[in-house]
Amino acid sequence: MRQLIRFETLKLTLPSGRIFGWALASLLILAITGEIVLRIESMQSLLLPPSYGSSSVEFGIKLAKINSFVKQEGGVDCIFIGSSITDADVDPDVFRAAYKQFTHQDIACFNFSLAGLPPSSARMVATYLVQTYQPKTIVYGVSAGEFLKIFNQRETYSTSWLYYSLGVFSLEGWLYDTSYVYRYVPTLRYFYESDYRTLADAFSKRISSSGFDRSTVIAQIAIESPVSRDDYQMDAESFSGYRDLVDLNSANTRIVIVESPVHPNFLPRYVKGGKGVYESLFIEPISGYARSRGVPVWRTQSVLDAALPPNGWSDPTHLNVEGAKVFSEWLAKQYASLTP
Amino acid sequence: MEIVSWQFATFSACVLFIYYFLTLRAQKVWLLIASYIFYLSWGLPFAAILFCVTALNFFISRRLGNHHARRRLVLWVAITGNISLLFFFKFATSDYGPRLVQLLNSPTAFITQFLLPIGLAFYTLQAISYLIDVYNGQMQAASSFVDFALYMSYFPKLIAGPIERARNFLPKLAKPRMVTNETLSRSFTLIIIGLIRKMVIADVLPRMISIDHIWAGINSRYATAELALWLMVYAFTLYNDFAGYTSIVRGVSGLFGIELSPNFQQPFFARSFTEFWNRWHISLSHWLRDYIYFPFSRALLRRSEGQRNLINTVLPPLITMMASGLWHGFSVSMLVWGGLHGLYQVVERIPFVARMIAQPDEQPRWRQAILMLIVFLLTMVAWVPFALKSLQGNAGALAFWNALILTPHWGFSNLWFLVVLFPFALSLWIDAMQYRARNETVFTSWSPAAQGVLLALAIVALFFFGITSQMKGFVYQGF
Repeated sequence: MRQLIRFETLKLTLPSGRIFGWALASLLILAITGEIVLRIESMQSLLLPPSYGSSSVEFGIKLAKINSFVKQEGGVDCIFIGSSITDADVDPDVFRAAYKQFTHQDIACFNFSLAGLPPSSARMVATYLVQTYQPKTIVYGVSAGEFLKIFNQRETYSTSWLYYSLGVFSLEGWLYDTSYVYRYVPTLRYFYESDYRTLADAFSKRISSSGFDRSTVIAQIAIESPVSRDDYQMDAESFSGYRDLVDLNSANTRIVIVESPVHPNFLPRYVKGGKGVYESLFIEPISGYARSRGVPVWRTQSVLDAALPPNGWSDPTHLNVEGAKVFSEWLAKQYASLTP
Repeated sequence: MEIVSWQFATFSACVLFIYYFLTLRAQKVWLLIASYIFYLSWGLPFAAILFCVTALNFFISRRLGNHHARRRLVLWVAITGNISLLFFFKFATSDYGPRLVQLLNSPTAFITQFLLPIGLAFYTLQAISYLIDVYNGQMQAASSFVDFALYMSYFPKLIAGPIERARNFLPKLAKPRMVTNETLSRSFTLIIIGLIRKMVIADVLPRMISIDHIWAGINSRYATAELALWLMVYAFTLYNDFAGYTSIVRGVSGLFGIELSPNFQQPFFARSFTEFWNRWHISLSHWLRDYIYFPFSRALLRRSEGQRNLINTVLPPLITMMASGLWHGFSVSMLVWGGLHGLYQVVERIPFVARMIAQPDEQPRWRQAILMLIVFLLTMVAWVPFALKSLQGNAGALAFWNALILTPHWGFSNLWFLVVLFPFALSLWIDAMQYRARNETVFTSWSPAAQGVLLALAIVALFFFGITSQMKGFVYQGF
């Protein structure tokens, strides 16, 4: 054994540790400087808004825009949420103008819909919005495809920061909430990437100050062979998220559910089995639960089939600015009839 | 197991911990075991091939050591065997392998299942240089199989060099190894410099301007300046990737008390192509010089009875650099890349040009700067086939050269691309510091305060760019 083990290679003396001391001090100074600099608003305006741990660029942009909106308007009366469908379907500015025309009253609305937002995350986002901005109404746009298991990408939006904001403590959530340096790390980390910047710039330009994601694409909807889904089955977690969102309905904040329309030619193929299955496996459960909680459900598919212009679609499920104008005006009319 | 990974860091720490407690001989055995464990993480067949190559070369070298009539034949058989093995794998894994099999009407499944054993191109050259050195009497054949196997497989240098010479490496194994505060400081400095080069420069640059963006609009949207910028991005990426790798593995090896050869010495500051190849991938350049260029030049000189002529001037650099091209990849584009560098060196030997660049240190500063720029620009031009790995087609070197040089289109579509200047500046700053001090770990001579600040900045940079970004393998692992 003596031949095998011998401790002769390492010949070390105790270092003074001055380099590490200086490094530690420098790190502290850098962190404090970063905290100060990143709190300056003019500095923040040079950077893309932080996404608080979400991989979605849009989440950060929408948060920044709603804060500016609330600052400018003094509050927000109604907030639209949903996936990219509601994002593209509802223009709050058109809604506001139409509402004023019908009621002679002003209303400040913001579209906080997010691309790919599943119902399981929508409940958290909606809860955060209710707690933070106290809107009078949350209008939740739903579409059958959003309740499929494949659509349930929770991790995109259900971040540690969102949990922390709703009272579930985590170190990372606390860091995002407290430290500007930590909050801006991802922004700074990806800021130089041309792909990221292109995407962020496109979002920033496309999304209006009231949160509308305008699309000017006009699709030629022939609907010969659209996506045919498997047997339609609602994801249990998604439906649970939907129920929680509906349960936010209270005296202070009214919840309204809106069926997001799809192109009339597309509906028979949107869910396997066509309109019958769509009604029985999608509309009936969501309407049933909402009505049991006193939450109105606005049907749009049959109502708006004729009203939505043929050039108003950017694809079979998303409206473009033309379609959004008609849809938003119709929503305003519905909303006006709802409010006294 | 990638070099820049937590697995490798943990593996190295575990190997080191045990290593420090062992005797000299046990350390060698332990390092050999660790090296094979490391290589097994890349695949069992790779380890099996390495072992076979090691064993065969060891036994052949023993034959070369004994003076007998057929030594020369044995040497040539051994060299041919090593080169054939490398040639086979390079060919089988190139585009030409499956094509040839198809031409012969054979099923391609056989050839497409081959993977180039990682590090094969590096350890094969080590084996050849060892055999030649033994044959030439420059060193004794290794008497210990463990020593020779460790020379072939030592894990810090196994996957992408540096290509060590047995006559330098084996004596290091024989001596007691010592790791002092200075060794640790130097090793960690090399590791940090390597990580910065790899994670903050080489991994970040391609994400700033991607080749897809450049190629998407060639001939129309993208401007000459953007193509040139992308080419510089490629050059700085490749340099920092490989120099970063070398720096890290030399740092890791330093922790074992074994110093590996340097591979880079600020190549972008070269004032001639000869100097460039003494600064870029030095261990390969010197191998090519000692085992192809010199023997070939000597043979030609002997044929022409010592008289310099055109053939003596043109052929050795051209053949050497084309061999370098083939070593990098079995393709026409790599041959063209090597051929261009050979051509540059031939031009450099034209008396008028040679007079201009002879002894660059003695030239006025302005002329040195111009020479540096010329070498840099011509090297850029040569990187095109190397980077694109094809000559023809819309994504080939000819199309790129055409858009870059023959049909320039001035303008700049995206000023954001200029963000690449920051990593360029960082790379050149590290180079300038090392160049001025003629010391790659120059930072260790700074005051503790300056070192501390620099360490903090390095940690911040690595945190920003490295921690969650996808860890990429090194480019030269692919060779």
